Amino acid sequence: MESILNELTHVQGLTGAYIYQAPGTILQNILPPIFKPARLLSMGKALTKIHGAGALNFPDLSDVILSFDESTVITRSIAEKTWLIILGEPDVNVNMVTLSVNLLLDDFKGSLELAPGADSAGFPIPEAPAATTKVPAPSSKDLLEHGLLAADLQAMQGALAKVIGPMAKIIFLECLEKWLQRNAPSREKLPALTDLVLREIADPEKAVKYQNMLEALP
Amino acid sequence: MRLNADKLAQLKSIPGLAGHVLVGPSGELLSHDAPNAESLAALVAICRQSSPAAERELMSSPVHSLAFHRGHNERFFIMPLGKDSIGFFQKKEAVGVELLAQVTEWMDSLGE
Repeated sequence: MESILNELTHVQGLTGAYIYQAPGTILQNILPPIFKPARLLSMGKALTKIHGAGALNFPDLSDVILSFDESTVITRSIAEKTWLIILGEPDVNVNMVTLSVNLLLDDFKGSLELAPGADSAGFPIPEAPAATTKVPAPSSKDLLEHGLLAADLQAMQGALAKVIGPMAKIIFLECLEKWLQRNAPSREKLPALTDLVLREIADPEKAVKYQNMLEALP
Repeated sequence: MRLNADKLAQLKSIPGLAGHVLVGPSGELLSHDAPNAESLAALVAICRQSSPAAERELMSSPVHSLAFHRGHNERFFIMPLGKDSIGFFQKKEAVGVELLAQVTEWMDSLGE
């Protein structure tokens, strides 16, 4: 995968790139050493939140580009929960970069499928679950719209919207996704979801209001 | 930021701009002429909240603009406007760099 990333550096003005996998793994990194892994993880989390929110609005989203005085940052989803993050100079030719990424996309995908689980940055890669008959886990959106818990979840999301406004939908879906990663969906586990949502509400008064609203739900 | 009718008209008249949302710091819609404006406002607010983490890790100045590239030369841009933010669509036939320059010029005129 490193050789594929290195091909990108032929574009003039490009500083380097890394591959970030949610919830917090660097699969490959060819940025200069000044970019410490902790820094890249924190940046990856923020950028993929932006990309994820964008994808909810625009299903045909390809790249998200952040422009700063000192740099340009390009984020592209290359596989499920996996993003390519490219750093360049402010005047890097974005079209050239995205074209190069398009040309290498199949290579990236192939490389991710074959990846043996090595992590060049030294971060733990979660162990694969034991081979059993796999039942596809429901997506957070499916669960919210159709599942047995749909009514409960929609009520929780509705209450959140009354407390924090229009960002509720995105924040609730993110929390739901985290909850699904750690819990089998069930009514008994909903308090864990409430905890995740409460952590996202910055204002303590609003958090109390949200909790009270949940307690008042049938 | 409250924009008067003249300033809004100037924004809407920018060639290449195909609808906007003006969004307050908590994601509240201040003005818009775009479809799905509530949802776009949430996106703008999430971006405004998340971009400081990228700025911090890059040891960078605040972000100038965020561009969401979609198929067929369709783009949605977000730019900070004081404590508020503006999001806007680029017309398919428009050139992104030119549109950004025109919106920046319009933003500069707000302080005059």
